[in-house]
Amino acid sequence: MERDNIRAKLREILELALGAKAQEILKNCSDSSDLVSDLGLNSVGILYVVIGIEEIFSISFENACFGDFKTVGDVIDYIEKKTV
Amino acid sequence: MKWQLKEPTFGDIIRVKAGSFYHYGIYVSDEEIIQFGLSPIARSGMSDGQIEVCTSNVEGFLLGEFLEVGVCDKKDKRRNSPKQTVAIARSRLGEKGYHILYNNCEHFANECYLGEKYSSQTEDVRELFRNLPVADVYLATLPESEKFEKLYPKARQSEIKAISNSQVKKEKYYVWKLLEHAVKTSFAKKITDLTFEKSPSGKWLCDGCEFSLSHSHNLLCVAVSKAPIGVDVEKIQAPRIDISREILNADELSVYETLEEDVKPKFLIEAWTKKESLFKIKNVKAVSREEFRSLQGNVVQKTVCISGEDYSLSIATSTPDKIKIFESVVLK
Repeated sequence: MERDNIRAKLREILELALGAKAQEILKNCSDSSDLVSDLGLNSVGILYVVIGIEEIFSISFENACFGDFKTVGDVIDYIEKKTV
Repeated sequence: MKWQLKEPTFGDIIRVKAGSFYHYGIYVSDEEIIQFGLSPIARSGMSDGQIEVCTSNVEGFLLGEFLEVGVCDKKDKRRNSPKQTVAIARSRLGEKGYHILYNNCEHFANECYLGEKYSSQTEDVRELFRNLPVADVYLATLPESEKFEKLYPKARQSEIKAISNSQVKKEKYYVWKLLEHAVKTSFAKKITDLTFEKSPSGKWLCDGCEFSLSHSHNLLCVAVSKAPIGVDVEKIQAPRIDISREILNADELSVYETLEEDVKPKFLIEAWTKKESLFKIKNVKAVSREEFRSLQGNVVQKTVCISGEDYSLSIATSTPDKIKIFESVVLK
């Protein structure tokens, strides 16, 4: 899948995970944004993101750890590889 | 399962609010609550690999919140007695392998108590995403090459093969290739995973998603959604004959007649694509001219410029705020 498409869909997932302040937080979001320190994702937010990725991209995280991803770009790289 | 604020007894499944979610455990006594990791609030900063099945006292489990006790309702079947529940929980002390989706505190507690590994919290979030509205629109220009490969389903391939006009044949072939791309991108599915059939109105339908196709000159367009969707594109140019009375209702016509000649084609084409998108969402074979002129509904309109030419794009959907447009898809 193309990176721009992945990015657009990941943004939708992040909007749901971040809740009310999502638009404000995502205003300056780029591939280098840190999931925790820039976006402020807590454990609940990460749960939403992981499930969202599984459901939207049909990718299983059963054998992967979301803790391996530091930035938005890392997540996009992973989805890109898994959706070839 | 129902949850009650009451005194727990030996072998009960219990939970406590921890932020937006609940933390689960098995109650043995006030001094012994067995749980897969401490409450997420208490273990902040720990990696999944460090989390293990452990015990705490009731204060350490609750961290000042209220304790709730699970009571089986008609849907749940408790396979393990209180004694078995505690024995299973104790036998797993020190066990690792925590996974937020597949092996969390709720999975653990349910496995000990019900005999079934299950997390209602993760299922609820899954449901949220499964029900997320989709209104994705894909645009592509017609490729120069003419490489007709096999299409799925066969009936669509035969339909295209029978078209004698080479331009129409090419547009219909490549708009289906764009649909293949859309299904893969929006629903992570191969087109061959879906079952297609033609409705009595002659429209192609499939079991896995709703879709709508349109093509005009060199522009191809596909919209996919979980709910009915209609899309139409048309190059903005003056029609060869005056068709305003065929398309516009009385109110639109009165506006149209006041317009400068150079903006009339855009107005007319926009009205046309709007009504075409509304007609497509209705999934009927035909409507009368009067009905067509009167079509009304939620339509999002956009002018797109492709290779220096303007096109009117109309999308009829019940979720206009969810529309995402993917321009410049490259078809091979």
